[in-house]
Amino acid sequence: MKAYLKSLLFLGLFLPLMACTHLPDNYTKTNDTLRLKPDYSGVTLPCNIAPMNFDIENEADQYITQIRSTHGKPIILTGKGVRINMKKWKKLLEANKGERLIVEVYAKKNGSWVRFPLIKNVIAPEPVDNYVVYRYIAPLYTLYEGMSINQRNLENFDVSVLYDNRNLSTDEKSQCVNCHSFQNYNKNGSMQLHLRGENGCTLFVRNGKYTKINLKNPAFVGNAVYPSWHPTENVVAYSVNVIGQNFYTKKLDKVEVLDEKSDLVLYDVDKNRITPIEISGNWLETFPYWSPDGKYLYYASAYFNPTSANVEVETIEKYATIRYNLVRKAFNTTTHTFGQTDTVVSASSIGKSATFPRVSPDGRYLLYTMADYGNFHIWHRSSDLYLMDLKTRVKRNVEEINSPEVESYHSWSSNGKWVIFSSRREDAGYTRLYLTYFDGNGHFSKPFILPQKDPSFYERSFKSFNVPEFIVKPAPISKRGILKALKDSTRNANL
Amino acid sequence: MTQKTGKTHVQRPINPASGKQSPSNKRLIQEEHKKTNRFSQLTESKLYILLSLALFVLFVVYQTLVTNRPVIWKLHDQSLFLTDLTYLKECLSSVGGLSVYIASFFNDFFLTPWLGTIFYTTFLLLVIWVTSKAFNLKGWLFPLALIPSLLLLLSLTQNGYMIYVIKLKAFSYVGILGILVTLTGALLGAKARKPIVQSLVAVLYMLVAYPVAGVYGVMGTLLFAIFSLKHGLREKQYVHLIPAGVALLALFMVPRAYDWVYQATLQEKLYLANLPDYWHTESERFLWLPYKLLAGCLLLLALLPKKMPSMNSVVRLLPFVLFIAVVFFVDKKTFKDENFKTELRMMEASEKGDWNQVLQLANEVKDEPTRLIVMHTNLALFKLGKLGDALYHYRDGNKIKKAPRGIFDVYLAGPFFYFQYGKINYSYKWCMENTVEYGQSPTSLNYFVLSCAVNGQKKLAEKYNNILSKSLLYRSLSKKLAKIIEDPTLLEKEPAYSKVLVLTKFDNFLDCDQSEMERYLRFNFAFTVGGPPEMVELCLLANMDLRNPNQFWPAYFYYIQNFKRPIPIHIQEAALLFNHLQKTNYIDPSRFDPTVLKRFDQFLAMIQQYAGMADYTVKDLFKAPFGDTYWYQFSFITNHSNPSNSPKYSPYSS
Repeated sequence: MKAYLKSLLFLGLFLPLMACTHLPDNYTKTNDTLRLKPDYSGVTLPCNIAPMNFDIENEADQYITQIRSTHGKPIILTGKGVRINMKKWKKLLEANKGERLIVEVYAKKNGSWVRFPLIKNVIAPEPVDNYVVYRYIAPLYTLYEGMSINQRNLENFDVSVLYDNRNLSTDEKSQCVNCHSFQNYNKNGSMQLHLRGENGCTLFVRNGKYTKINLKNPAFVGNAVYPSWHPTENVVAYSVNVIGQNFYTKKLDKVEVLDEKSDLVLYDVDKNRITPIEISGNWLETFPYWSPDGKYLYYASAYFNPTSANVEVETIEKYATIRYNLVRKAFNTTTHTFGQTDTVVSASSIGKSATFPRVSPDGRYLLYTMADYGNFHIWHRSSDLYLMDLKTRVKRNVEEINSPEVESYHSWSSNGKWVIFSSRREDAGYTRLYLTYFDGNGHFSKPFILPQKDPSFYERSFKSFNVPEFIVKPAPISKRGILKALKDSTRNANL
Repeated sequence: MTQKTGKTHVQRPINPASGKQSPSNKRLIQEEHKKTNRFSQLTESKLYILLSLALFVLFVVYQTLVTNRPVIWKLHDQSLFLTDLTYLKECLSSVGGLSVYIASFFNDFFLTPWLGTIFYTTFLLLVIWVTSKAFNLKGWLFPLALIPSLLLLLSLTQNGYMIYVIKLKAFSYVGILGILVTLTGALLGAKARKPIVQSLVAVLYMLVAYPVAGVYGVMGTLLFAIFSLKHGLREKQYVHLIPAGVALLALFMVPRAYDWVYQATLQEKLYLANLPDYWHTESERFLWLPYKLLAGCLLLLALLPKKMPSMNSVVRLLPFVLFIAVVFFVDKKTFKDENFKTELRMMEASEKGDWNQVLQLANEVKDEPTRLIVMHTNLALFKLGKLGDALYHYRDGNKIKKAPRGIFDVYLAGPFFYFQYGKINYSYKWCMENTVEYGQSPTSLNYFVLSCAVNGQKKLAEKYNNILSKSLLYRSLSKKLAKIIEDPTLLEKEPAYSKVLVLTKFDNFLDCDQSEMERYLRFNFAFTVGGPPEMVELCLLANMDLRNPNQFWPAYFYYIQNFKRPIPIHIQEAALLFNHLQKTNYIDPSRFDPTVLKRFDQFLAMIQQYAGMADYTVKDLFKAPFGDTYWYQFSFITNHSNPSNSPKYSPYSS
């Protein structure tokens, strides 16, 4: 009797486990398209990426999925939702760098098994940077409410909330948090962050020390907005902007963010001194970004000469004619002075507008966004990513990663092999992050959405991923550090 | 008099001669004794308790379903319970989240007011029961147990317009659930245990109660400390005071410890999480009153002795008297404003597409209407095709909202009105603003879906509709919306959304409404060029309201040249007036109603008759014969949506 019960217990516990590890012996191949959500087919993935879980959308009674490569044990899973074991995934990827990753999906319907066409992905030997930092914020709103700076570990699903504005923001004293910027992928633990409204300031963090600075100066048109920290020097380039926001009555773009005025300034972190880089009444300069070697400052520049007294109204009336080119200024890293300005992308000459210049770490390529007009391209459905070979000055629309919806803000990984960019291709409303592999010769692989533990996360997420920045080690800020720093007195930056 | 038996010891007068009591005195004393005994028995009887409870229930139903039904209905929009795990996780990511989660479940039922009221009343009764247990309020003391529930009721009924702007989701139930958590602390504290065990219970209670109910957990721990203190003092052993000290320490330390766990706890409300976010201004101070009184009440109840000494009948009556006094207090402090309720009733009728009901409600308005009432009325007239003929038959007004803070109408009804007037992008924008600020609601999701459907953004519409499909009570709405996503032209068949698509035929441009919805709509329509007849009619009426004949005429000519339909009466009136004032010859009287022409002549004659007299002296004289015309509106009524716009032309200048 005892033995009988023991056998039953064994069967009850272990039989189900044994049953799910076998692939069907008899199946037919089908040509039906396998629909995965998210679409992780035909992609090149980093060898250190978190498991790329997905759901199978094809209807069937049972499912078996096998994920295999050249070396190591395949991973076999059952069910419509494919949730890959972290350890097994890591092991498989580690053992198969540079190899193919094959996904086989079997489905049982009406008593018989079919196998869908194989999904063939590639495991890139180059890893992606460990972390991405982004602002998590609802799109299209004018109020400061419920936004956070988050850090996602790309090797797993860990998300750390570095700071949430709901810690301090109330109706009476609201607070916005934005424009996180790291020096050289946070290799030295240096970053800065803006806070607007209540406790407004710019927080600089270096070697674990927080400094609260007021960068606003009446000599400039506005407060310091879009930052870029020099890769080697302790200087940060900012645009100073007077920004307005208006709404389309019908166009699906919905929002237009316009600069009435904008210039560039340079802030010396060590000396607490701010100096003008480019101040002119007839030009709008914005979105500065240093080249990886620090020898050039790239930025967007548009000619705009308002003729009426009401600049705000004139800006709104002429919004579709304001077009930015990409220019760069030479920078002397010893004297911290600027030299000549060159036009790199003359977008206005072809009736377009370019922003967000980002040079690849090897200095060879320039990746930027281009749309029909304006600079705040996350709201422009016409915005796409473009690539210029800085050697040959040949540029092209990176069709292999663009979509009919907006593609915008992008960052190169520190090894220059990966790009993360913002796109609203999922639903045309909410910005998601996509990763793509760069082969070093001007071509990208099919992009894929940032993996989530539960693939249905994006359906239930009503916030956008804003300004993704790769970093190689955890961000040097924390909620406690920020709250403590905000109690300190604010230093004014000297002119 | 003891609490239990109700026996009274009465001093009997003695006959000085015999040293005995006289018979008549004896009888009086016996009757006195019987009365006292009867009264004592009454206050100890179940009938007394039932009477108190019955009065309470009647009062709650009166304050909710009877006099505030539309407000109770609107509460359903204050939160949205979702059946998936993600919603639970979202709630639990904040202090007090579990209370909010459960509260939002019950809050949904206010969609059907009578059902919501039943649940709500039941919970208030539960609070009464637990209060009576926690503070040992039996017999004559029982009415005291009703006071916390009355104050909770006031915390709901005092709000008025504030229900639109309170960010604490399902606040109507959060307070109730919170108080139950508080009372649990009292119950735990009242139980006699060994000091070490009691201390452990205090810490465990706070560790659980704070993340579950925020400030109510803090309050519960305070009550725990008080009860432990009382017990210690009673036992006269200092070791029994230790649990009180531990409870107070836990009260202080636990929220700070949890601040390391929760990423987004408003620092200034670390100990006050789950209270509504009223401002601490002069105008909103009164809103804190129920909460302050509730705290005070619970503290006082906690200080009552465990065994009450015997009391005379006057004292035994006090709890009931206090209960009645609080009932009157709650009634007095309850928000009362017919305009507010009318707005809500109009919204409810509009959402069903019952435009006649909206007009009926407009006719019932006794006081000067608010702008929202006027907007609802105008929209109903537009839907019924009567706007151009009957606009000025309804009362105009600009009664200031009886709200303690400035609340723009666009927050109250922006998505609705913008959608109804074809401003789809603005409807979407204000859905987003409201959702970001106040959380998801059925109304916002409804207009999110509709806006995206009309804009042809199918995937986005489905994203929002997917949320409604995960709700408890809006799945049928979700199914209906799914059909509209597939075919937005189906909107025309919905009474609530007729004539929306026709108003979407305009060119794109860039602007901003500055959060002034009515003003934006008026100016937007006023400067529209061409379009279908409905849009041109709105353009004409907008320019009439703006007293802008220069913009009126092009639209007028467009109307009469392109549409083979009678010119609406008020537009005829405006054309006649502008033609007269500008001394032009733009109109063809043959297309005009003879009655209108005749009345205009009479109007002009009356103008001549009273020429030179001040407006305010003749306004009433003109009202009877011409109060329902544009001429009266132009001459005597301020343009409420643009008060600085005074008439360019005065009828008296001619």
